Formats: sequence, C-alpha cells, structure tokens
Amino acid sequence: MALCRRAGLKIVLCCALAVLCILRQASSVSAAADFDPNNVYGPRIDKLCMVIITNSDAQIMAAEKGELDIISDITRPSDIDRLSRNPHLKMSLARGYHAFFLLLNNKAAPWDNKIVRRAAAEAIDRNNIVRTIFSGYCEPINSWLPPVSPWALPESTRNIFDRSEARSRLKKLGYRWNISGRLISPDGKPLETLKLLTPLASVAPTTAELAEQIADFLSAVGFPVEVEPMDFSAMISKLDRKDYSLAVLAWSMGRNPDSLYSFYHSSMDVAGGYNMTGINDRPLDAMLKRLRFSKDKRSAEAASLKAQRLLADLVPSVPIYSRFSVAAVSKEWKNIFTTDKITADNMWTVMMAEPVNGRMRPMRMLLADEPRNLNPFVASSAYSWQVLGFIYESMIGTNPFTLEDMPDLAAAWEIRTVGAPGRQHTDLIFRMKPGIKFNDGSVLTSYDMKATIDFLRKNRIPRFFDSVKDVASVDAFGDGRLIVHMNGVSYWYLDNIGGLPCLPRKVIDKIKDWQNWDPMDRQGRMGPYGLVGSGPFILDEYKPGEYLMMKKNIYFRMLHNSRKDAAK
Amino acid sequence: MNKSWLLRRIFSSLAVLAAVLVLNFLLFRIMPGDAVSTIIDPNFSPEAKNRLRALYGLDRPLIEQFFIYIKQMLTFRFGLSFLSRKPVWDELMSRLPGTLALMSSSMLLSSVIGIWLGVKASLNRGRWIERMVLRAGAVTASFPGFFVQLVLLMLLARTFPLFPLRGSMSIPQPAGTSAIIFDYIWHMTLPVITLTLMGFGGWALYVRNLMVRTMGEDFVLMARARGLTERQVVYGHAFRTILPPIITIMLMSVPGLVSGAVITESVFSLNGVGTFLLAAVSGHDYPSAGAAFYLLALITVICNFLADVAYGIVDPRVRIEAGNK
Repeated sequence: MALCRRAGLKIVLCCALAVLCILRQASSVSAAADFDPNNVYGPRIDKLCMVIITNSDAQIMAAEKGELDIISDITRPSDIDRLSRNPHLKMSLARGYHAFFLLLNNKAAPWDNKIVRRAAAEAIDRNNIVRTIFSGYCEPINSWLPPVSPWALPESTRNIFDRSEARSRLKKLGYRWNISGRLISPDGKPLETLKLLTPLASVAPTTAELAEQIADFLSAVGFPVEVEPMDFSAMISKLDRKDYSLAVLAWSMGRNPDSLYSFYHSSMDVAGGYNMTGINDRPLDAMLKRLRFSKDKRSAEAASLKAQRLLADLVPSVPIYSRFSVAAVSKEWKNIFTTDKITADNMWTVMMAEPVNGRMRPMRMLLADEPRNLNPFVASSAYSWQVLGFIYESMIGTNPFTLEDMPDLAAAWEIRTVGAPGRQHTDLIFRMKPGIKFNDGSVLTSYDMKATIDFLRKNRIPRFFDSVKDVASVDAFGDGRLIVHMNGVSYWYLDNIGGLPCLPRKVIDKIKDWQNWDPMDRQGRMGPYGLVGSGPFILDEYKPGEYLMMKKNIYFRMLHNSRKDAAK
Repeated sequence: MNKSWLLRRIFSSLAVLAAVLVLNFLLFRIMPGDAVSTIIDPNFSPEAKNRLRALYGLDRPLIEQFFIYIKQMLTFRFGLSFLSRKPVWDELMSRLPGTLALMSSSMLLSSVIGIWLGVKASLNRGRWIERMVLRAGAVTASFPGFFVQLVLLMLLARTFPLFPLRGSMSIPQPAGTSAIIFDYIWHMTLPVITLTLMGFGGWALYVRNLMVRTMGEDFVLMARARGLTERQVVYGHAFRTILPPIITIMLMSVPGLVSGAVITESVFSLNGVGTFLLAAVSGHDYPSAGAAFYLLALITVICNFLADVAYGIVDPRVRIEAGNK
C-alpha cells in the first residue's frame, strides 16, 4: 500500500514537472517584466481574423498546419502533448476558473450529516484522478473557489485524501461494515444504493469516466455508489428538485467570492436556484450575507475567508479539480503576453502582437463555435462575447497579473456608503478617462455610460438584470463623473456596474426593439446598423459559419497613446 | 390512380402532418428542463431566469403556447430562435443552400456509383468484380462515419494538404465569380467524397441483390429468347422492374438532403442545417427544433406522396391495380 502510494506520488511529481515545463515555456512567451497594462500601445496588427472551426480535431490540425495563430481552451491531454511537440507553436498554460464538484444532497441521508460528507471528501483521491484522467493537466482542489481567484483559501489545493481517516470518522458516528464491506448505518440497516448522476458518456466522456472513479473511491470506504448516466437537462431537473443523492457537475466561476452566496445560501434553495446541495446552515447564511453585502474590500475579504472556512467545515459539496487553461500560439508572432493567470489568447496579446518577420498579415484566432448573435443585449454565448469583447469596453478591467480591478474606461472610482444608519446605500463614483472615442469617431462621455445603464434597467434585460437590478438612479456630469446610486449596500456593486459594456447614447436612443435588434442588418429595421464600441477592433466582415474579420479601430485610445509615445 | 385514391392519400398525409404537429409540440415540452433551466451561472439569478422565461413565452399556459405554435407552423412564421434571437426561418434559409449542395451532390454521386456497381456485380456473379463490390460495400456501409471522415481529413487535408481543413470558403474569399465557385468546389470536395464513400456501398448491395433476383425471373429468360441484346435485357427489362424501390429510396432520402449530416458538418466545420438542428434540440430551442422537424415532416409526407405517384408512372401494374379499384 505504502509502495503504491509512493509510486503514485512519484507519478504526480512527474506530471507536475511536465506541467511546470509547459509553464516555463509559457513564461518564455510572456511579455517583458516592465509590462504596464495601463500603458500598452496597440493594436499593432491591422486585422484580426476569428476563424470558426467547430470540430476539436480539426482545430488541432489547423494549428499544426499553421492555419491558426492562436488556439485556446485545449482540454484533451493528448492534444496538449501533440501541440507541445510542434516546433512552430509555443504553449501557454494558466490556472483556470473552471471547478468540478461532487454534489451531495444535504437534505437526504446519509449526506444530511456533515461528518459523513467529510468522510466522503476524504475518501476521494484527487491526485489519482488528476494523474489518470487528465495526465496532470489540472489541479486537485479543496476549495469552493478556484485556486486562481485572489480570494481563494491559501490551502485550496491541499490534498485531504485519507481513506483510513474517512473510515474512522464513520466508525465514530456508529457506522459499521458488513462482510462485503458495505456500510451499515447506526440504526442497523445497510445503506441503500446511492445513485451518482452524471451526464452521458457520449456527451461528456471525461465526466462519465470521472464519475466511475469517484464511485470506486466512495465504494472503497463502504458507500454503495452506482453511477447513473443521464441526459444533462434531465440531470439538472433532478438537481433542481433535490431528487438525487450524488451528482457530478462542473461550472466556471468568476474571480469574486460573492458567487458563494448563489451556490450555498439557503435563500437560493428555490426552483432555478443554484443551491443544488440544499445546504441550510444559519452561521453560513449569515456569513454569506455579510460577504454579499460587505461595505468595502476589507470586510469582504474577512467575510470571504470565514465563509470558506465554514464551507470547509460543512462540506456541502466536494471540490475535486480545477482545469488549467491551455493555449498555443504560433512562433511567427512576437510580444505574446501571458501570465500564470491568463493564457496567451488574451486582449493584451492581440494588442501587442507583431509578426516576427515584419510582414504584416491578419492574425488568425480560433473561434470554436458560431457566435449566433452579436446583439450585445441578447448575446449569451461565450463565443459571441469573445467577439464583442474586442468591440465593447467597460469602466473597469482586470489586471492580468493580480486579477484585481484596474482602470479601463474609468480612470478612477470610489465606493461610498451614504445615508443614515439603517437606511444606508452605496454610491459608486466613477471618473471617466477624457478623450476616449467610439469607433465611429464620436466622443465617449459619462452620458453614454448613463444611457447604457438606464437602458438595461428600463428593459430589465435578463443578461444584465442582476447587475443593474439594485440601481436606484444614475447621474452623469460634464466633467466625466458618473455617480451610480444603489438601493442597498454592497462592495460587489462596483464589479456589477464597472463590468457593463458601454454603448453610445445615440445608438441606444435609436434601438426600436432590443430583443430583435440585429446590428448586422444593413436596413436597420430594429435599430441602427453596426457595432459601435470603444474597443480596439471593429467588425469588418462576418461570413456566418466561416470567419469574422476585425480591423483596427483607428480611434482606439491606446493607439493614440502609442503615437504620442512614438513622437516622444 | 383515380380521384378517390388521390383524395384518400391527401387526407392521410394531412392526418400524418397533424399528428407530427401535436407530437412535435408535446415531446419537446415533456423533455425535462427547458432552454433556461440548464443555465448555470451564479451571475444569473432565478429572478433573471424567470425574466428570460417570460421573454421566451414559456411562462404562458401550455394551451396558449400550443395555439401560438400551431399558428406559427401553419403560417410558416416560426418566430425567434431562443438561442440566437433571430427569425428561425432566416436561420434555416441561411444554412439550407450549403446543406442542399453537400447532400444532393453526395447523394447523386453515391447513388449513381452504387447503382452502377450493383448492376455490374449482379452481371458478374462469382467473379472478382462481384467480390470487390460486396466487400467494399459492406466495409464502407458499416464503418463509423466520423472515423472515416477524420481519417480522410487528416490524410488529405493535413498530411497531404490537397484539400482545405475547414469551411466552405478560403480566408479571405477570392475575388471573381469563377474563383469563388472554384474555391467552393475545392472546399466541398472532401466532405462530398467522404459522404459518397460511406453511401455508395448500401446502394451497391441493395441494387445487386435486386438485380440478381430479377435476372433469374422468367421474363428475363423470355427477353433473351426473343433475341434481344444483353444491354436491352439488362437495362430495358430487368433494371426497369427494380426502378420502383429505387425511386422510393431516392425520394425518401430527400428529407435527409434538407436535414443535413450532423457529423459531416461538424467534422468539416460547415454551417449547415444538421448542426443547427442538433443545437436546437440539445438547447431546448423549441421554435427552431419545432420548425425544423415540421418542415422535415412536411417534405417527408410530400415525397411519400410523390413516390406513390412515381410508382404509377414507372410500373404499369400499379396503374392497372389502381384503375381496377
């Protein structure tokens, strides 16, 4: 047993070394250490071509063949290995926001006891899963936030696998084992078979394989677990009704910890809510509420830490692993930017990239699916926003090194808690950068941002509903100030409002029907033609199913900075 | 083929369509979940989900949804896709030309090659031609499509780059009509070859079996006894008698031309109806899936009807039987 463990440890170390090699390779691609995200000039390329390739094998072949300059979100270990060996490509690897969990129905036995839940968490060998299924290209987690988040617990990747400890916990609770190793509950009855719900292998083969492994680990301590594959919608429907015992599910989380409220607060244990484990714990509720409605960053940090510690004690679900983000970039380009938190397929790379041979050509970036809709009010897919993200900007951006807030359209901001005690509310004061223009040459002012926020509020647009639902009023001033008065108190309002895309007021005023508005409709039946934003690129050409050609926004603020710099 | 027979066929076709309409509505609603329930995003609260559900019209009573749906289907105004928020009709029509080009050319090629090989095999029983056709037919018809396509893609687009890896046009698109047409043909060649390769075997085996049986019939012996040439015997008599089932299969393949080939479109990154349908069903996009299946049912019913009519044209026995009735 000890030998096996030692061998396992060696293999994990080998995998870690391999990943570190890729990280080192990635770091060699990184921009210079004196990189200042506030002072970048670009875009230096004239055109960015987003090539739509839906088949993952064809994507890899296209990258190998040189038809793609940037390919992102490579998930299969075999593909990562294959591309790593390609002499024309550089790999880039970063910790991701993805997290995979084993959900336990906290409302049904045996998972209604936190000791049993903890025993289950200790029974699962995450390192083994990472090694055998993912060849080391992900990290085992013991945290309810992805380790990349600046808010995650420091011990978020600690290995808690300890089968004997799990058995001893169960024994102390009064559990016994029958002759076949199956658990007998303290009331003397053998545990009934526990179904572990998983998506179908044909849809999610890795998840299905993972579920089998988890079932084996749990069975090894006596839980009679049986995997039950089913259609994803059917599975979500069962989770929603709490008609399950165990389930596996992955989701992408943001960098902020306020999402914990959505997943573990008892008020979210409603139809369509995300508290799928059904955890209902008063101290946790109180802490999550404190976290969600913190006045400032310091109190948010304290509440986040305490909430995560409470979750570690309650174990409503079992964190399993977080996948690394992996991208590959052609060596034909220089100034590729990457950190340990973002892969090379980022805005900074596209801003700064230049061809090594000096001959300018369009940079080709993979778009793994059709964007379907480019109306920013209804676009919901990641692919649509991969495109729109180059066109629209928001007031606050994300620092690529720290993942903290950094200025984007706003030069500075302030959060104030105002009002008499008991009737306090948050005021967000933004100061917009001067001289910013939209891609049609018109000037961007705080009035445009106000018009955008008011439009989103008035129409209760689902995608932005949660961000603006607590906005009481918005005031814009000629000196570039924008004051957003909120109805309640929360530090997170800053990111909710600061992350909204900014559209020109003149465009918003002409939109007749936001739902049916097609910015690609030259006849402008439901609203004006074109996507007018302040981002670094303009949509030049869209061939559905084939590609999107973006061209440099000649009014982009950082492009002008570069001219000034060059003049200096 | 008299008037009452025609009326009976029309009524039965309408009954089938009505059943399809009802099932089309009910089956999607019986499926667990809806287009909103699978959203797992902590920044999308249950309240926002309900707002989205209201925008989709899913908060209305089922009976009201049903009547709206029937009206949409009968007027061919299928509403907006849940996923793209674009008119379903526009979505379908933008994908249909590509799908039709891919599927019709591959069906034409596979049926012509398959029929020709099937006839050849039946006329060369026990020889190497028959053995080759039988083996090739069995292999190509039974191989998993995605595997064949990926292997061919790897071989002919990556290792020996004779064809492009993706899509139906180059980036940037070449200038000039003839250049665009040539570029399109170049892009579609590999997908068409793979579909033809996978499709001809079935045709060859089917036609070979039909012909073998027919060539043993008395009327073939009689034709030979009359001193007709072998060509006249084979194509003027034997082949003509196997035309009705061939026509039926061809006409019943027409809905397939429209529904597209999900795997082929996915492997070659083609923007077709097949992948649209798959996304609609898996994403609970009721308007898109409902419209697409309704149109497919409509085409199937029409083709079925046409097959019956065509039977009468190519087979005199059907005309006589219908006339007697």
